[in-house]
Amino acid sequence: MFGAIVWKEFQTELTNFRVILASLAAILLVGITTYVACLEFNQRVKSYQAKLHALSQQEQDIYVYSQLHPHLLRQPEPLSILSHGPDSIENAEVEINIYSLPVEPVGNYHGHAYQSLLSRFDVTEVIIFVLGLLAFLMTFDALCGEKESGTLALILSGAVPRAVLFGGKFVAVALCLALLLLILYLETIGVILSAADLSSSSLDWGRYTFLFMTYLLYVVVMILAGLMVSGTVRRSSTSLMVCMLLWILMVAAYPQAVLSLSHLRAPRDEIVQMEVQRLRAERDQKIKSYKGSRALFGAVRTLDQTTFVVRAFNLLPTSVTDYEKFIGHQNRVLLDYAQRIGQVELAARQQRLRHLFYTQLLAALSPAYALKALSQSVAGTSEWNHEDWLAATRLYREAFLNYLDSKQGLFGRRWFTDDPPHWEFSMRADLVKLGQDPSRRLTLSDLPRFQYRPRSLPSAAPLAVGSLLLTLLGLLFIISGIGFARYDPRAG
Amino acid sequence: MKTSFSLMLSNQRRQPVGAGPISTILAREVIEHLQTLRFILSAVILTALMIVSGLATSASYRQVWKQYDTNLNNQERGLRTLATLVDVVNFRFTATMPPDQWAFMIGAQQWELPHQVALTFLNRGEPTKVFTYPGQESASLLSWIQVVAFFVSFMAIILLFDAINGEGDTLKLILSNPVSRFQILAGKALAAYGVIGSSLLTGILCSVLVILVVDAIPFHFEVVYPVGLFFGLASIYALIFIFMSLAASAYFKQPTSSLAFLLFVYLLLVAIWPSISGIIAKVVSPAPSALTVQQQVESLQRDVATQYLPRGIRSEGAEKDGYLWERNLDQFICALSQRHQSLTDLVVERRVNQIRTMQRLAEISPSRLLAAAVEGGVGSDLNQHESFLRQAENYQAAIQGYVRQMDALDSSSLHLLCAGAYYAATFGAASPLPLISNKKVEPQSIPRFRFAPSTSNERPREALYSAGMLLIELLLLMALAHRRFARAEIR
Repeated sequence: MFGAIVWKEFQTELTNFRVILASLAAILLVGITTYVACLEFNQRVKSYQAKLHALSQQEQDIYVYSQLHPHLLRQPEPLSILSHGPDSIENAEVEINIYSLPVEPVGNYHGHAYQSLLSRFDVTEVIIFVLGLLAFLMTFDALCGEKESGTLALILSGAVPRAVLFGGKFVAVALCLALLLLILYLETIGVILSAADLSSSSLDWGRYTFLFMTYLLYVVVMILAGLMVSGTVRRSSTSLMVCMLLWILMVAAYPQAVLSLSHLRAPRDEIVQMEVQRLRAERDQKIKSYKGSRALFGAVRTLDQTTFVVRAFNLLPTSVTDYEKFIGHQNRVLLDYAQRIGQVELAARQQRLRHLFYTQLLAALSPAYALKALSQSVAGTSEWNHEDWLAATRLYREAFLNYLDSKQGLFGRRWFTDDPPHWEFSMRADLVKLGQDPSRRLTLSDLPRFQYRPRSLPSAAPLAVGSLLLTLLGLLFIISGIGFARYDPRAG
Repeated sequence: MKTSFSLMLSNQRRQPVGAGPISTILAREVIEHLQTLRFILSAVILTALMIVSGLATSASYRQVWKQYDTNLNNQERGLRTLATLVDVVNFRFTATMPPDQWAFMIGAQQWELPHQVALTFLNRGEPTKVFTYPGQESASLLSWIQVVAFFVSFMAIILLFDAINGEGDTLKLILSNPVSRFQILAGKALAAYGVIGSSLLTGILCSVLVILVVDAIPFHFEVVYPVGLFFGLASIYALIFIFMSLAASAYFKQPTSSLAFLLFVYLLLVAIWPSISGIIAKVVSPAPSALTVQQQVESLQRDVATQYLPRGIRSEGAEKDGYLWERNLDQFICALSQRHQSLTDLVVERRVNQIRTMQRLAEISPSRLLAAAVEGGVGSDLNQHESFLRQAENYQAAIQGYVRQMDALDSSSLHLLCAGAYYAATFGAASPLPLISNKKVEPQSIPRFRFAPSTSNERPREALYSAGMLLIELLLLMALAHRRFARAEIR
C-alpha cells in the first residue's frame, strides 16, 4: 500500500508542469552560478600563487633576521565554489613579526571591491531560494487538495491508515527532490572539473557529498513545513498563500531582520582601540627611555626604520656593542607589548565572535539561514574555520620566535648585522657590499614552515546550528503528523 | 472574495446618489482586504521589517559616523604636527566621504561603494571601504529599499493573485449590471494600492518615529524630502506589481497557476535577474583583476627603470656634478608615479563602468529601477560616488599645488619634488639632501578635504530617468491588465 502511494505520487509530481519548470530553472541557475564561481575561484588561486611566488622570492633576499617577516596565506577553499563565506576573509593573509600577534587578517584579493553591490549568488543560495520554493509548491495542496476534490475521504475509507498516506506523500516528494539534488550534484561536479583549476584528487569528496546531504536535510524540512500547512488549512489557495508567506519569512525576512537587529547590540571597538593606542604609546615610551638612546638615534624617527637607516646613513656614532644592547632591550619590550596588545585585541575579537555566534543561532531558527551557516562550515569558508586558521598562525608565531632565538637573531647582533663580533660598521661601504654579496644571504632551509590542517570535526557553532536544524525537523514531523491525524477529511 | 461581490451587488441598489461604481467597488474591496488574514499578517510583517530596518541602519549609521569623526580628527591631528614640506610630501592624506543619515537608511548602496581615498604628494590609491562592521557582511543590513523591493511586491502578489480568477460566479453577476470591466479593474487596483500604501506609510512613519525617539534626533523638515520621495517611488513600484498580479489573475483560470506564475516572475525580477546582470556586466565590460594590475605595475616599473634610471649609485661628489644623479632620479620617480596613477585611474574607471553596465542591465527589473531612482534622489548613487572620486583628485592637485608653491619660495631648494617625496617616504625627515625646501610651514595653510555633495536641486534630474522608466513599466502593465481582463472569458 505504502509503495503504491509513493509510486503514484512520485509519478504525479514528475509530470507536474510547475515542478518541471522550477527544476529546469534550478538546473540552469546552479550551472551558471557554479561556472561563475569557478572563474572567480581560478582568479583567487592565481592571485594566491602569484603572492606565494613573490614571497618566496623575497625570502631569498634576506641578510639579517630583522628583515624576516614570514607572510602566511590561506589557500582558497575549493568548496567555496559552492558556498562562499564572508567576502572579507577570502584569501586571508597575516604577517608574522615581533611587533604584533596575528588577530585580524588582511585579504590580498580585492576582486570584489565593487561587485558586492548586488549580492553574489552561490549554489547554496540557489538551493535555499529555488528548492525551498519548489518544496512548498509540491506540498501545499498535497493534503488539502485531495480534500477539496473529495478524494481524501475516499482514500481514507479504503483502510489506508493516515500515517501511511502522510508518509507516502512525504517520501514521494522527498524522493523527487533527492533526484533533483542528485542531478545538481553531478552537474556541479561536471562544471567544476571542467571549468575550475582543480584536479579531482584535490577536491574533498567526503565533504562535497556531505554538503549535498545538508541540502537534502534542508529540503526535507521545507517539505515537512509544506505538509504541515497543507494538513491544517481547508483550501489549497489558502495553503499556498500561507506557504508563500512562510517561504519569504524563512528565506529572506526573518534572517535579514535578525542580522540587522544584531547591529543594535554589536560590540563597540572604541574602548579597545583606545586601550591599544595607550599600550602602543607606553611601549614606544619604554623603548625611547632606554639610557643612551638619544645618542644612538639622533635623527631616526620611527622604530621600524632603524635597521634600514643604520645601514643607509652614517647615523650610528657609538659602537655596535651598544647598539646590540639596545636591540636586546627594544625587542624584549616589543615582544612583551605584542603579547599584551594581542591579548586585548584577541579578547575583543572573541567578544565579536560570541556575538556573531548568538546572532547566527537566533537566525538559524529559519532553516534557510541554518543551511547557509552549516554549508559554510562544511565548505570551510565560515568565520569559525577562519578562526581556526588564525589560531594556527598564532601557534606558528611561537615556533618562529623560538627559531629566531635559537639563531641568536632575536635579542643579539644577528638581528641587525651578520658581521663577525669584532667588526664595527663602516657604513656606506657596508651597504654597497651587502647589496652585492649574495653569499651573505641567510639560508632559511631550517626555518619552520607553516602547516595548516583543517580540523575534521566542525566546531561548536556549526554543530549547534546543525542540531537546531535536526530538532526543527523532528518538531515539524511531530506537529505535521499530529495535525494530519486530527484533520477533517470531509470536503466543503 | 465571493461574499464581497454578492454584498456589493446588494449594496449597489442602496448606494447614495453621486457615488459611482468605482467608489463602491473600492470601498467594499478595502473592507474585504482589511479583514483577510493575509493582509493582516503581511501588514504586520511589513511594519516590523520597516522598524527593524530603521533601527538597525540608524545604529549602524551612528557607528559609521563615529568612525568617520575619529578618522577626521586623527587626520586633523596629524596635519597639525606637520612642520616642513618634507613632512607634507610624506604625509598620508585621506579624502573621506561623510555619511548622510537618510541616504544611508533609505538606500544602503553608498556604503557598499568604496568611500575613502588615501593620497600622498606622489600617488593616489584606489578607493577603499573603511567603515565596515567586522565579521559580518554588509549585505546583512536591511535598508528601506530592500524591504520595499522584496516585501511590498510580494505583498501585492499575495493580496491579488486570485483577485479575478478567484471570484467565480460573482463576476458574471456583477458584469450583468451596468458596471464596466475597466471600473472593476480600477476599483480593485485602487483598493489594493490603498491598503498596501497605507501599510507602507504606517511602516515608514513608525520607523521614523522610533528613530527620532530612540536616537533622540531633533526633527527637521529636511527629512520630508527623502522620505516623501521614497514613498512616492515605492508607490509606483507597488502599483506595478498590483497590475501585474491583476493581469496574471485575469489570464490564468486557476488561482494556484496565477500565484505560481507570479512567484516565478517575482523571483526572476527581484532576486535572480539583478545577480545575473552582474555576471553579464563582468563579461561585457571587464575590469582588470587584482593580479593583472599587479603584473602591469611590475612591468611598468621595469619599463620606467630601464628608460630613466642610470646605472650605479650616487657618486660621492654629487654637489660638484650638480646633483645629476638626483635629477635623474627625480625624472624617474615623476614618470613612474604618473604612469602608475593613470593605471590606477583606469582600473577605477573600468570598475565604475562595469557597475554602470550592471545597473543598466539590472534596470529591466523594477526593483533595481526603484533602487536607482531613490538612490539618485537621495544622493547615495554612483554619480555621487564619481563626484567624490573627482573631488579626491582635485584635493591631490591642491596639495601638489601647495607643495610647489611653498617650495618655489625657497631659493636654497633644488626643487626636485618627486625625488624629495620618494626620499621622504623612504627615510622620513632624515634625508640629508636639499631636494626640497626644508623651511617651516604653517599647518593651517595646508589644504583640507571638504566633500561637497550634490544639492537636492541637482539630484531629481539624476533620478528622473529611472523614475520615468518605472512609470513606463507601470503604464505598460496597466494596459496589459486592462486588455487581459477585457478579454477574459467569464463563465
